[in-house]
Amino acid sequence: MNSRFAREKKPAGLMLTSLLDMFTIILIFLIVSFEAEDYEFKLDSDLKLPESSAQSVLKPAVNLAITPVDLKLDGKKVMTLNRGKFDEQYYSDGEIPEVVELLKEERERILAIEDPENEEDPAIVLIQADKGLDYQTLYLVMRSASMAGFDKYRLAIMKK
Amino acid sequence: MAFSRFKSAADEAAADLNVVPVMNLFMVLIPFLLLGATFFHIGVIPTSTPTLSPSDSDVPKTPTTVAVNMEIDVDTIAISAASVSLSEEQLTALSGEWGKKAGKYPVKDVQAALLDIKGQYPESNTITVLPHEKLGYQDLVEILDHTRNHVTGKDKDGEDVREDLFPVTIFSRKITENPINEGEDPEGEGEAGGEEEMEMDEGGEE
Repeated sequence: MNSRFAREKKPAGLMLTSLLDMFTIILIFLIVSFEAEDYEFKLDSDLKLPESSAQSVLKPAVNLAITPVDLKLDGKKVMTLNRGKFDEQYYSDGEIPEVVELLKEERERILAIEDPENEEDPAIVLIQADKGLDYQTLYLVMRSASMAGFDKYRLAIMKK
Repeated sequence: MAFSRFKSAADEAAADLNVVPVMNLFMVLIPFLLLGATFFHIGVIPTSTPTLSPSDSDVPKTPTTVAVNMEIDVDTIAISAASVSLSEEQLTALSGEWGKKAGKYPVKDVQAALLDIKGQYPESNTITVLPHEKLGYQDLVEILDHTRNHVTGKDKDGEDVREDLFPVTIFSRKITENPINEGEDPEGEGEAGGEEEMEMDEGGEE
């Protein structure tokens, strides 16, 4: 009697059904949240963007990141900040000469490759600024960009 | 009896799906999708700064448009309007100043005043913002959220439906110190104690 039951026992197998269910749910979630974007945006890890209800979408632009410790142009460190402030001299001068020079070069490079029939001004700066910065610092960077020929800005925000 | 027992065991074996290839496929797909997944959404606020322009002043000449200025001080927030086709009394009626409430700017009151201006001059879309130097970036963005558009209701998915208010934002700054004299002002931007005096293009973009 016992031997018959022992013979009928199947070898132990892995129950993959529940695992498969879980993977299916994860897969659906990831497919829904997957967004194919033609513009690669790199959020600087040293800053926290302000939250906003703005709905405008990202477009390609020159990327300026202002963190509490440095200023980066397209990922390359340009200046050092001390607790979110530049040297006092820059505030009294109303511009940051190093940023002006670099952005002038960037503007020339953009205009050289830009389609002349394109009516929209391609010289736009995307500013990623830490939400803890003050307006004085933000405006100093915008003004420096303005002196280099950039007068349109897109302030990067985290959508609510 | 014995035959039927063997048959049912065979059927049972055939009924088990081999899910291992599906699992393998998932194991490849999930890391791939994880790399491309966005767990936060980045947007932008289009703005501009004043630019020197050979053209006329940006103060509107049509009676359907006014230029709105918003001054954000440490304790108050004020709006004023400018238009060459409106009288001083009409412009004064559009102005307003509000003090902070419980340490916060009364953005709802400001938005209501801007809605009133928009109702009277619906083609107006530009606001010049003059924050004080110490204003935090997050606070500035919160104020802009209330000046750029307003919520008119909810759609069927429960999302806010927004309507433009003053979507073109121009940043400027107040000159807090009196220039020594006009001749020594290197940028020629300061009149005595006034706001930044520059002719402006509507540089904002949507």
